Amino acid sequence: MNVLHKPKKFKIVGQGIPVIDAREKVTGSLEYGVDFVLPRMVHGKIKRSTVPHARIKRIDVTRALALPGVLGVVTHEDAPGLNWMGVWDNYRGQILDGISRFVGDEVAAVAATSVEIADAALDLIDVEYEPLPAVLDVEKALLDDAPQVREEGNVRDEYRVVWGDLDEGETQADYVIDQEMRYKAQNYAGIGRNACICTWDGDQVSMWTSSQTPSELQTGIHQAFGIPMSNVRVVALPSGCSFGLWWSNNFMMVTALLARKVRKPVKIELTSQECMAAVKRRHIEITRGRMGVAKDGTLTMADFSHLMDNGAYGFKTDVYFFCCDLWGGARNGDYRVRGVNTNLVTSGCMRAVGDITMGLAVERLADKCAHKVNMDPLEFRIKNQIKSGQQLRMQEPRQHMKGNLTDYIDGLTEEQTGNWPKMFHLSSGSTHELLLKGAEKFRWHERWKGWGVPTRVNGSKRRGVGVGTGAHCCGVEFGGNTSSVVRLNHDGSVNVFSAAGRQGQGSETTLVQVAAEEMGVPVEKVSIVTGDTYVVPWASGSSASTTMFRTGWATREACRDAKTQLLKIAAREFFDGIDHEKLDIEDGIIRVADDPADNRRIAIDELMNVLCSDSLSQTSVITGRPNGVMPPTIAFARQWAAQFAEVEVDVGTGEIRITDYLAGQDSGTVMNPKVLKNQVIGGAICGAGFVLYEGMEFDPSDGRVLNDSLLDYKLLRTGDFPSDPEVFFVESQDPVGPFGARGAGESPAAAAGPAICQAVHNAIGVWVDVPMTPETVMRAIKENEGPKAMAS
Amino acid sequence: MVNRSFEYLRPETIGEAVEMKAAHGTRARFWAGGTDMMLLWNRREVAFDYCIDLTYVPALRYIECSGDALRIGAMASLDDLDLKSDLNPLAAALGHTARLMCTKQTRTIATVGGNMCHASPSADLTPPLVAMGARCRLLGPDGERDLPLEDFHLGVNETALAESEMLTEIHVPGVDGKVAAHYDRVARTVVDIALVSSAVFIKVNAGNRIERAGVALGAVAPSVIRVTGAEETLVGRDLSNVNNGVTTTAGEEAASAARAISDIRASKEYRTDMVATLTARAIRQCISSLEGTA
Ligand SMILES: Cc1cc2nc3c(=O)[nH]c(=O)nc-3n(C[C@H](O)[C@H](O)[C@H](O)COP(=O)(O)OP(=O)(O)OC[C@H]3O[C@@H](n4cnc5c(N)ncnc54)[C@H](O)[C@@H]3O)c2cc1C
Repeated sequence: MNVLHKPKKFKIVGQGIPVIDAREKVTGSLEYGVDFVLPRMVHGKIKRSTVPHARIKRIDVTRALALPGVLGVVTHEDAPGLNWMGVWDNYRGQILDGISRFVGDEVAAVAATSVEIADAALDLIDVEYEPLPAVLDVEKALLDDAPQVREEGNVRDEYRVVWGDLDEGETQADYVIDQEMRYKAQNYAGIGRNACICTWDGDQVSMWTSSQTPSELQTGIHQAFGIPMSNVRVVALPSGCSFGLWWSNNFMMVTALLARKVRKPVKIELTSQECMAAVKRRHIEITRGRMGVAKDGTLTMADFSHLMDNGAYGFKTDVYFFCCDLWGGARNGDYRVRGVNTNLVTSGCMRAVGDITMGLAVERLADKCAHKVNMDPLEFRIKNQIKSGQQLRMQEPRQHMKGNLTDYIDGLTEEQTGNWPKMFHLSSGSTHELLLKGAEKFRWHERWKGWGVPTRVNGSKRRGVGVGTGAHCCGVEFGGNTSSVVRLNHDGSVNVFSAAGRQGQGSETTLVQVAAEEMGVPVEKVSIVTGDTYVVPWASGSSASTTMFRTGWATREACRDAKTQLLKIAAREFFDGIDHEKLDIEDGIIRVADDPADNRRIAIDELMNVLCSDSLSQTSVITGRPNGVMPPTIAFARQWAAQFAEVEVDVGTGEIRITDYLAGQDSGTVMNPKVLKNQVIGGAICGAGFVLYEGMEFDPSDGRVLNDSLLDYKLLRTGDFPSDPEVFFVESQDPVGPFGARGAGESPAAAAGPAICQAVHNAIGVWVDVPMTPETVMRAIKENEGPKAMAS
Repeated sequence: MVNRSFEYLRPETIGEAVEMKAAHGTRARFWAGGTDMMLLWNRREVAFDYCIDLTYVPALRYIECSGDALRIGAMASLDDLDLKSDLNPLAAALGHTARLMCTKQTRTIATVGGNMCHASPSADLTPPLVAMGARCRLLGPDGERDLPLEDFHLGVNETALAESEMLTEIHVPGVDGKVAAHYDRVARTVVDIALVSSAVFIKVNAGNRIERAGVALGAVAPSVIRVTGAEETLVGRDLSNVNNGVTTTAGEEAASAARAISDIRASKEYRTDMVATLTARAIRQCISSLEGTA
């Protein structure tokens, strides 16, 4: 197998073609979960818990069932032992098991002939709760005598990465600085809701819902209901922005339960309050850390301890290898992470999980070290961040977490792994070139005036600049399995079948570009199915910045397979038995590569006709699938971001305005610059929102979400971001990813926070806690007796 | 019980609208732009059997100067305010206020009357209008009343409107001559309601002496607060005499008049501090526009 990328002139890769569903999107005809309807469909609504932790003592549905139009009700009595483990540890647990674990947890559901009737019936379900002690605080949930939220207990195994010797690092340090940062939970807050539509015919289940992980949902249904995967059809519809929210969630299982009960297609459409308060959110997190620095700017140690609350059904514990990788230049390190359950709404992986939080703490502490030795933050990053070829720090402990390299390669031949990049070493890219190029474009050296020194002061308005960096994986673990199947039709057109989400990230377009490039056909000749598990091969889904790298790899390999089959026939039938590897396809025409003098040409469709009319061939189409073994991405590939921000802070009111923005991205080969630019800016706005305004507020008495609408959950709008942010790319070719491409979606979200926080610091001379609301800024200024010109 | 419905009524004249309201009393609600009503309806915070849509009553939609008054019809939209900014300095201040509100899309449907009648403590138009000394006209089957806007707002979502009355006009009398007004607020993102706000109105005589001043605060009490202490600090002074000391004192007066509370948007302390900052800034803004025209 040849995994090494051979640079060549691309025809389709790198083209900024419009996304393939652009027309449907702008004309409003694209069908999302909420738009989907089936004949004979009825409507479901979920009864949600009003208490944070309780056993259901008695649940009486007779009044609800008596309401005309109500077709059925499900409670925990209909769901004995129903649970799912999911595919990642991200999210798992019971479905309707008679225990409520947060305000908003599912306790029952009603199906009725209209939404209004179902809604009215909810009030007619009488629930008697036996309250259990609840734990609403992540640190309290750690204590031995804390109420336990899950059967497995609250506290997950610690995940730890250690290298070098901390004591040694402390001795080498001239200064050791410590810091604690606390983060509120970010709400996914996608501008869109979701619905799930399910039918149950015999033991055949079909489900339509907006999801970024169709196969995982298929597995979940298979596990929960014990039916063969071949009988589970999940059709993942586009979700619009998902960021991890529309992965797989309990309400989908509840829809399946209701459909089984009433034997009719059932649709549960969530309200925006349900989407914002009863599904999932980012974790509440706390990072404590110490960093040691020598006078010459060498980071001698990094010692971090991180805590994240999983809410009721989250199960996360491992994320932070991205941060330790990025700052892996620190000579000695110790990173510890724990996940803990609480009686708050479930948390799950949200875009740049861990990076946006712990990554920000690491970047800020590094900034403080740079400040201490009076070094430019840009130089400090270049000096201490990992470079291509260096060892990744995540190696040892990962071996014990889930999956490991030994198992992954067990049974593989030397031939299969021979071309793999060196395991646990960074294969390509880093922040280095991004920082250099960015500094030039942003005029960093001219604009940066020193630590805590504004670039400009105008009355109460102070401007400052900042730089931040981010990294992320390109698909997780030693699993993250994926596949792809392609079918070459009579007319030379190609169907691609790949399980992926359509969450606005444009994968359906970029995967088509991969296929068209490899097959040598125009993009118009390729169409793709991403959501229907009846036809797409199993894949872990669009999470962890996987899709371009791993599913893109599988798609290219599948095309190679189909192409090889095709070229072998062509060689035999039309090119006098020439070695098929000498042939190539361009614009759908097969010819001898690199020999302009040879004017033999045959179009794919002509060849396919020959194939079909050959009675011995017993085939009508050519199908391709990946033949090789994909190396475990986690062990070598990362994506990189470096971003530069200028902010203006009003020191009279604490308001912050972003006045200039530059984002650099290294995701390897750029498959589609428009799609990538969109990812980068979207990520930057997500990260900026997190550090400026976003944060979920929970009622201290019962943990209910207080800001469950956009009135008080403040998202950045495009008007809150500069209208012309600039994006540039560095294309360090990846040795494995399709045509040298890697992942992209998450590192840009990670780099924004550090850049903006540092810019604010430089504008006003004070570090501000996040979110940096106007009030928090004013408090920080007061506490630090900041700028005397507290102009009013 | 299950299906919520209402009868939709569409008057074309003010008279018809008042008649309809008189006929159905509390069972009827006026629908102006519906931007508040829609939310109330969705959250089941409002119930009515008749919806009187005022959109097709052209006589309610105008912004004009007549005599010494600026007159704004109840159905003038927030966007109309923006578009009429160059009518006079007060219209300019209201136009500036409107541009801080909602989004262009929402501004084209939301109305001035709706903003007043919804009586939200954070409604942006209330502080500048109260500072200017605006009055409102209410029309019912028994005739018309005219009362200061300050007395129109009684509390959160509470107004002086009687069961069968409607608001027809907001007018600001006595604003010929040299006037200026400025409103500002602290908000989180470009689309947000005010966390705290302050408005200042100043009128000077021919000799550039302040003869009337209005200071009003938003989002720091159930209804808008007039800060007479700050107004007294300003009245009688020469424009050139309004130095930083004066604006700071006026700001402090405003802060002590505020009755802010803490909620998930902001704390009492922050709101109180900002009242002082915003008031002092608004005064300086008015002074510099007056000096520009002096
Ligand atoms: C996205 C969004 C952003 C917003 N941003 C802001 C903001 O920044 N600042 C702000 O102040 N507000 C804001 N609002 C609130 C709202 O838009 C304003 O209060 C608006 O001016 C209300 O006007 P309307 O015409 O839509 O009122 P409606 O919703 O039609 O009516 C509001 C109330 O007034 C009554 N009413 C209306 N007209 C009359 C009348 N002539 N006589 C008697 N009663 C009447 C109605 O019965 C109802 O009770 C926002 C709303 C939204 C949805």
